[in-house]
Amino acid sequence: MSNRCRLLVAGVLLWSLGCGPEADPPAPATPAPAPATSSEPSTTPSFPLRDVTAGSGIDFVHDNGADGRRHYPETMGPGLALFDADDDDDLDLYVVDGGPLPGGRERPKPPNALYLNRGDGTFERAEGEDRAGDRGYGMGVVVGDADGDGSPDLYVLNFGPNALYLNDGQGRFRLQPSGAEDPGWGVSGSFFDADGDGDLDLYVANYLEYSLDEPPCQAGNLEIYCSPEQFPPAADALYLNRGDATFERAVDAGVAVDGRGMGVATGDLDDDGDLDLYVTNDRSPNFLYYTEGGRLREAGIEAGVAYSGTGMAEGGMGAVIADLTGSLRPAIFFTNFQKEPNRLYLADEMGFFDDHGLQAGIGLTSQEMVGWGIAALDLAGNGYLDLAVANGHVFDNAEQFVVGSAFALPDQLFLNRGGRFDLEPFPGTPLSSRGMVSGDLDSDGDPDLVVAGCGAGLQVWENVLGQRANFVTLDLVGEKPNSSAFGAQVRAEVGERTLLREVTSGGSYASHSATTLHLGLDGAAQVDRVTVRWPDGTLQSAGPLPAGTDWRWVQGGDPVARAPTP
Amino acid sequence: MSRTSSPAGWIAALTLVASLLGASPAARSQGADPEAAFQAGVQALRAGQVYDAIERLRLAELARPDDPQLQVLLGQAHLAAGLWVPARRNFEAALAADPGDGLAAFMVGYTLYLSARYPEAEEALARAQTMARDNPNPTIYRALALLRLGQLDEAELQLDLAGRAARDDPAALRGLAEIALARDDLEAALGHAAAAASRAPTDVETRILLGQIQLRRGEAAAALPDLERLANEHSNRSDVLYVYSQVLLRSGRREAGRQAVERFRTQKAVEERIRLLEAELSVDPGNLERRLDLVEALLSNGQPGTARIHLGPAVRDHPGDPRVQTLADRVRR
Repeated sequence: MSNRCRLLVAGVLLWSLGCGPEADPPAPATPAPAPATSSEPSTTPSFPLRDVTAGSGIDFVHDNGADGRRHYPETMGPGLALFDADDDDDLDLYVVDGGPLPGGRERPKPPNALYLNRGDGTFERAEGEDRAGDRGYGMGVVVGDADGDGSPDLYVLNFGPNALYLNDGQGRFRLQPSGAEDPGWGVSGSFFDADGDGDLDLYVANYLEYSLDEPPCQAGNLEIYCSPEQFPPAADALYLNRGDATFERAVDAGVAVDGRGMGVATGDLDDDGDLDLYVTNDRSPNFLYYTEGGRLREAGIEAGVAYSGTGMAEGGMGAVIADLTGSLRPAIFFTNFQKEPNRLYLADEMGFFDDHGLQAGIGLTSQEMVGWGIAALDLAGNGYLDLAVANGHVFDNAEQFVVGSAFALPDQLFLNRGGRFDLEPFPGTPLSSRGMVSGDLDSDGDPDLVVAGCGAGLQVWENVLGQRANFVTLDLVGEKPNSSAFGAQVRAEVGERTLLREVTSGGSYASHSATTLHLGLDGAAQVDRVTVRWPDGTLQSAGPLPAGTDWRWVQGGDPVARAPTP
Repeated sequence: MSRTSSPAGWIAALTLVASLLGASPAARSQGADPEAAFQAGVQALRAGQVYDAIERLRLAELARPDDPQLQVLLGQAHLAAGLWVPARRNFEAALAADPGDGLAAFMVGYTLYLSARYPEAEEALARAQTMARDNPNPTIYRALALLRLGQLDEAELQLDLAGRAARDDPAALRGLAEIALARDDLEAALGHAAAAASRAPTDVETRILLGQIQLRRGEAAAALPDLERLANEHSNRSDVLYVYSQVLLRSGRREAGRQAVERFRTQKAVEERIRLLEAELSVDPGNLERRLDLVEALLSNGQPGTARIHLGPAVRDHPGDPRVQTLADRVRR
């Protein structure tokens, strides 16, 4: 036993010791035609998503490298991203992979996978050396236009040096020596303009200091993964873009050093026009950073979002920032470890946050889960963002020593009824889920969902509740170099209501969802007026935008209707 | 890691521990007699001398491990000392010895609840309900377990079933307050929490809950006086200091709030260290250095009772070690 006494009784002790508001959403619509599949999709009556994995063409199986030594990284991935890699107006999928860890049986490391969309929601794996097939031990990924050329690039977070891949605009990537090859255990990241110079900087959440020499922990005679508290936190990093996709690590920029970083979400929490950050940490207080004049000001404790209500540092996992209550105030939602409720923080007028998860119906119902990735998506088009949560235990043998639990846990869907949520457990055989992303896979106008399992495959869920006629979609293209438009804020007026949406990168856990905005109309005929506050603060308005239409809006121009996909 | 030795050896060692840790003369005179240790343990428990009781009853347990009465008493002593896991084991042993013992059945469920094992607690308490129909506690704590599982309606139903007992029981009133809070009925939440506080004015958790509800109502200033008192009374509890710091900050007393945040951070670090040391010792109980570190940390944190329990094995195994003697003296003082 090492001198840090890393046995697991200790581990277990430490780990176990987180329409209008009144109206029901529309009844489930007639399910949209399924993509061409080779087998019947799995459908559960009334559940708003159906499993179309089998016919999706996605055959990815995560290789976590587990070979019995129980190295901690094995149980932490993978993340994934949805974005249009090849500029053909549909969403492609990128998934990071693990592979063998040093010291075990030697075999080739599987590359990360890029799946290109055929245009109908089915995918084909892209082959070739220029497909960002990074061979580090992958944990997460984030997407953004790092070099300001107008196409989305990939930043891959690894257990080990991270990697930046620049996109030529056609879905072909080259490795860029960036200066942001953070050597630590990166998990999640986010592109945002930290210093107000127009280009995209990068926040990297690092987990903890871990050596592969560490032995596994034990629970009685059972070998298990160790607890995070048995390792020191690894410092996060802020990388400032020099404007050419090379970065330098910011010093004295206010980055806190004592968190075991897991999730990173961005949003304008103080409504001052720039993106702020919320970083979930595992067994250490979460961070809230306000971006102020090129620096980050950490205010988690004072704002009331660092600890639980009684001052406990929880096992924070994934995070999103979005208007989840229809109150035109961005909320912070994050997932937690077992016995700790997922939390929904809302700020008051003074900037103090309170956890409303209990009142919203998403707190106590998550307590028996270990939550990871999150997708905030309006499934029905009622103008409220629902929440999908990826669950799965850390312990691959949880069944043997955590009473009533298991490695694979059911994911949860929380349907938003105007700021209060109703739980719908996912049907079917659960994964031990980690990353989760949303986006319109089949170009039918509503958002779908993809979940990645640790040491398992992906699950692709098609939205069968939404109807194109209940949405207007909007793709924002910012002025270069921030063509990704991260930091843009949209207010969409729909009848008596106003929807608040933001374009951001990262979020969830180790993942990046598509950035197309799905504006739910709740039966209205149009979005009356859309106002965009672009990242540089300029305002533009347009409208009306009729129901069932898709728009692309380049900063400075007018929104342009995109040809509807047949 | 585990240590084996004869019961006789344990009895002698525990007797030594008891004497070194300042057992009463009467208790010391009982020597190694298990029956005398049992009686002394019962007396100590009645007198509220929890740590004495644990020592005596553990001594007695060596001779009569299957005695359900002894297990229940030892479980109660462990519970009073905040040692939920050994307490549960005692109650489980009592229940195994007498499957019809409704009190033991309730206590198993109750300790599971305290350990945050809510699904199991709910099941155990449901069983206990059927075994002790006159006792409202299984019903009340089953309701609280259901509350923790997010089943608010069912929790409320159970509290209704508990009837008048629930309306007078501070734990049940706290549960009602939390249900109201979950339903965003802050007025009702405040009323229930205030009622709980009036029935259990020294209960820290209730006062914290009351403060949290006031915070949620935007009444930080109203929460301040009691939390200030609480922070002074329990300066060695980070949860108290945390809520106090939030109340100060939200009352507009930013500087005092920041100072309270610093106190909270400092206290948090102390508690984290204690928790880590306890975890390490749970898997390596023979590590004397860690044990002495833990005892020192507990004494510094104003927890002589817990320090005493953790020092026991060191006194038993290293009676001649001057560091052990010094700490034993401090514990006695």
